[in-house]
Amino acid sequence: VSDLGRPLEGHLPCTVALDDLLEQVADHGAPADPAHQASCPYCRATLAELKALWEPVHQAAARPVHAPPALMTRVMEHIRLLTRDGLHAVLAGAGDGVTTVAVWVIAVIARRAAAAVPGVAFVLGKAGAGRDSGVGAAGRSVVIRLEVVATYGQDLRRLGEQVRQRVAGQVQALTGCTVTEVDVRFVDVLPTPEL
Amino acid sequence: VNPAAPGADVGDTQAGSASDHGRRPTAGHGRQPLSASEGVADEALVLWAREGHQEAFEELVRRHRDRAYRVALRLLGDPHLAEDVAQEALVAAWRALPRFRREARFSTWLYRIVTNTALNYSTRRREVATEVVELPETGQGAPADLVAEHNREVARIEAVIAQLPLEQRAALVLRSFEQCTYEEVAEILGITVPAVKGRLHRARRELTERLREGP
Repeated sequence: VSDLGRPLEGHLPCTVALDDLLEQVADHGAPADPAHQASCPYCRATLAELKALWEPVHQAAARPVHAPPALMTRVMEHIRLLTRDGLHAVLAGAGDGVTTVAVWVIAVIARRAAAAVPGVAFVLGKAGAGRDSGVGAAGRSVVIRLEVVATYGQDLRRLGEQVRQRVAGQVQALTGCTVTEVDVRFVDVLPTPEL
Repeated sequence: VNPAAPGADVGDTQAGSASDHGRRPTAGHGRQPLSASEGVADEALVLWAREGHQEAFEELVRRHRDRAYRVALRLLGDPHLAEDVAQEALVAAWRALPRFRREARFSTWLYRIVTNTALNYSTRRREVATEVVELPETGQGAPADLVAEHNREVARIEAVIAQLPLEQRAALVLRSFEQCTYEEVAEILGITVPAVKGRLHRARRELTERLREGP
């Protein structure tokens, strides 16, 4: 049926461009010159071949395709997570549900970890649910800000580093979140631990 | 010349798709609650979604999910990958809503996001491994089941299309499968109309050559 040897570029002997006939068949278009096409054997033969070749393409295009039912749910779940304005970190989750943890929970873990570091007198922070917990979360990434009161007479730079490591380690261990930053702010020093 | 008018929207036959293009007149319907949202134009939903109303975006996803999935499937030829791409693109659309231009059509804009996401995936995947698309078997004996035969033929075409060079494939899928106009294809791909025509000529030649080679 097909004229296998003939290249698809160029023109037919009647000077009609092959690209034009291809476009006509592919787009179900009207012929540029109906009178010519009605009588030209070159055009008619070529059109017949191209129509036969493209028929399965048109059938494939007509096949209805529906998105998988879970797509909608997954998209909206994702969007709901995005719009939680950083107040929750996402620990795990896929189609069967999502585990999140509120940032103030992470703040409690961080404060307790920091308070256990020798040289830290206590750690300031607000209890309870509030926007200003000092913790920011996006997905599984967490940034923590701590206000620390140290005992007097220490290398605060080293103490800051110890706090940072302990907090990051503990939050990671208990939640699986990646702690990308821990900002330690020394806001006071106490003369002795007893005071 | 653009003989095939868009609007014969293949595939979007589910409820609510009548306003798929946001062209259905809403005059006379008045503003309706989202629960009866079929009469609400896409444009209105986009405006509400931009203000953060998830229900409005949910309705947009409901209307356009088939379109997003279908284009991804035809560009990539893999249902699982297509689902991932459609999901990523729809979430990206939510994030990009503030940059949506009011004069644009949501469907065209979404095509652009899906196409870019799919092409990115395709490029990334090619860097990892050169894929070999297996042509489905087409038995020589007369098939008793015409439906199976039809499905095989469709699968063959989709596999052949998935083998076309990326830029040709994108133009061909948007034009011949999604019935976009040349102007829309140009807008979606970010190229000029003459460039679209050039790509389509090459894509049609390439596809026809491969079809001539037979199953």
